[in-house]
Amino acid sequence: MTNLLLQDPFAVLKEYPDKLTHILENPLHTGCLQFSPRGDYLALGCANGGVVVYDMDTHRPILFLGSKMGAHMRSVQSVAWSECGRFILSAGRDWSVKLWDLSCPEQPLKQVQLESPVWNCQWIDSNAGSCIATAVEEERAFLINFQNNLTIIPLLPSEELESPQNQGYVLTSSVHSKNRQIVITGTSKGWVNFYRIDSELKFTLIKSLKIANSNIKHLVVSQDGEKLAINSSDRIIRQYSLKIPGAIDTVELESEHKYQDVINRLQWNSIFFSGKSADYLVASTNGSSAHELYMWETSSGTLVRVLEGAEEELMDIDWNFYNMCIASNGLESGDVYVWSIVTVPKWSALAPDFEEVEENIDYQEKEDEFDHVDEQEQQQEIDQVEEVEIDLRTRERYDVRGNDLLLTRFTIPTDYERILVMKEATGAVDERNGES
Amino acid sequence: MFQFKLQLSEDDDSNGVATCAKFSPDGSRVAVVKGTVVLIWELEGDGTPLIITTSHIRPISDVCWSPDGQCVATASDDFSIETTHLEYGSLHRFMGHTAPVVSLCFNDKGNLLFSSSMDESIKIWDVLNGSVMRTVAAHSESVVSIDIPADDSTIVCSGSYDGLIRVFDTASGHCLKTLTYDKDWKSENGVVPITQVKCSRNGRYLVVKSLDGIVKLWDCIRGYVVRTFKVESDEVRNLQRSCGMDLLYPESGLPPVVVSGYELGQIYCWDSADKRLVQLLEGERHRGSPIMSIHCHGNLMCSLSLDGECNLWEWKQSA
Repeated sequence: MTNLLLQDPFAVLKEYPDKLTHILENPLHTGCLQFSPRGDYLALGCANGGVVVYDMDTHRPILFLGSKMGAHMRSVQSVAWSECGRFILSAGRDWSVKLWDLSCPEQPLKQVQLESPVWNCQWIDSNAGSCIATAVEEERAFLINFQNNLTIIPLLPSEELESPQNQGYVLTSSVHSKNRQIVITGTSKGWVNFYRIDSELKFTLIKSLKIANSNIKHLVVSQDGEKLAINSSDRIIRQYSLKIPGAIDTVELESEHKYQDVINRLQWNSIFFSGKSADYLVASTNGSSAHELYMWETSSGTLVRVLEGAEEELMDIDWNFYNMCIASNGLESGDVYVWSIVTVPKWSALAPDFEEVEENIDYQEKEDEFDHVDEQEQQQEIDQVEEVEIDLRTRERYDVRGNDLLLTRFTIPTDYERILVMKEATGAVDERNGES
Repeated sequence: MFQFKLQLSEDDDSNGVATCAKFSPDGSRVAVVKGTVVLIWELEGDGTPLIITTSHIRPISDVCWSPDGQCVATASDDFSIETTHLEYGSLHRFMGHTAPVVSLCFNDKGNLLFSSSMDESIKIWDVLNGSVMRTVAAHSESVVSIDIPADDSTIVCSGSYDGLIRVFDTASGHCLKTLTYDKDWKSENGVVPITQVKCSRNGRYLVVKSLDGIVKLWDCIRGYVVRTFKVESDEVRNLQRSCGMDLLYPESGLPPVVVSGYELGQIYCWDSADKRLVQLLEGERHRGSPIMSIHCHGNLMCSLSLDGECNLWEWKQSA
């Protein structure tokens, strides 16, 4: 990421995006969204059951999943990219969870049918093809294994750990970002359950606690795995520090902050942590009166920034740390708003001898500035520079923001047939126009 | 050392001037430009090339493979660029430049195409839709060469006849850095025009060839020259054309080799680490005809001369 090395370091190292830079129009009405792991693409789950992938270089749609057959029949509730960027998981109100391979996206690779509309699906181990899904009015979440024989295993409460039987319906689930063995579910009566998933999808309930009296809407674990934020319909976002002892037989939670809008008493639609050690938490507000994303500092719990620019209520949020973009979809238009870091062009970059200064500097001649330089000395200096070892091959392991650059990147194949079809279509239109 | 491997020759000369030859991304094919057609040679094939006719009405000056190896993009003197699928035929014709287009490159995802032209600008095109995304007013003379590092598509580097080398951000089109030769490079006749730029694989360094035949290796982050490769004889050095230049990364892992062509068909090869001239291929194979293009892939090097002779060489480590 050589460009980051040459840009203004103060702009590059900003910790969060602050300007609305793009609005991705989506006539299919976006319901949920997620960036690909490296931030190259953005997948949108749509109200008509479509899943559209946008290219973040051109900001245009490049792919419609299930263009031949097998698309969702009803609105898509959740999309999730695999770690390698090649597979997408989608869940819809048509009761199904589908697995897509982006190298042949015309139809789903595999799919399963649950017994009610699916709220949410998340990868547990994308290499092993296991995921977790939650469905409407189900008292348990489901583990799904897409490999070999498709299996669906309901996550039952365990007998060892005492937990009241009536926890309500499971509404949401989350997988620990560092320790993928740990799965967290949240229920309609305010219960949060922690499961440990062993190989072959054997599971153990390791902790169960009630944190609120109403629906748990979202569970978000920070990138470093040390913070957990819980969004509940009692209008409070609770932030906990999260510790897992080595044996993974329990988890330790400690309440850190509660975020709420004390004036308007708004609910929060969605929440998301910033990267690395999760210094910030961003949330979208419920209700037509607020059109912003709120951002708090997680160490102090203070509101630090309001991301403005959208002109409607915002729903789902995703934040990619490679391209430093936050995307959120609007409730009414279904378009997607993208905030990113704007770097100002430096005019001094156009000439190597220029330097940009904040204020006027009185020129003072340096002692050796106009000294006659001995030609031989100069040559020696040049020779010295030319003996320094250089490496033309090796890539950086991390970019300046600390993101791992060795994470695999999958490039979606160019759809040449689509180019030809589009060309034919526009050609036909041109011809017709020519005739009339 | 390079050993001669193969000659890709075609008896029919009617197609026009040979200007450019490039390996496909997997190294199995070579695209050779002759006039307004592109010949695709299979290295393991039977010796008859696939002939791609384009809709250009003036000669092509540069060809570029899409990263998936399914398409070639061609830049022509008729101010246009065309992408052609090897099976499906012409995909898009990109119009917008106001002067001959001279250099092309794809980004690593293959969704953006970069072109530079004698109209002093660089344009960024959307490959899927065939539309221009951004025009960058890049230089004050013809932008004769652009390149994107193989492992890092976030920057694009350009070299121009105005003697400047610039680094641009591919996403925003902003100029990030300008490199120029030092004062001592300003000759009486003005600046030395740049003829070709080539990024190192990791994007940290830049090899630059100028019209005085000297090849310099720049550290493009810090902005100074770290290696200079000079042909001793002044006669060889004076160029009228770019004559081609590329980096060969020996598969053995040894330091990359700078390969540069000259007017009488000679090819000079230097070790990039210690500046040693490792090999000089005299112009016999090219019958003294000027080298037009040099391109390397793996241990292979392809040299093309103005008379249409295209030779493949294989790098073998000398004991």
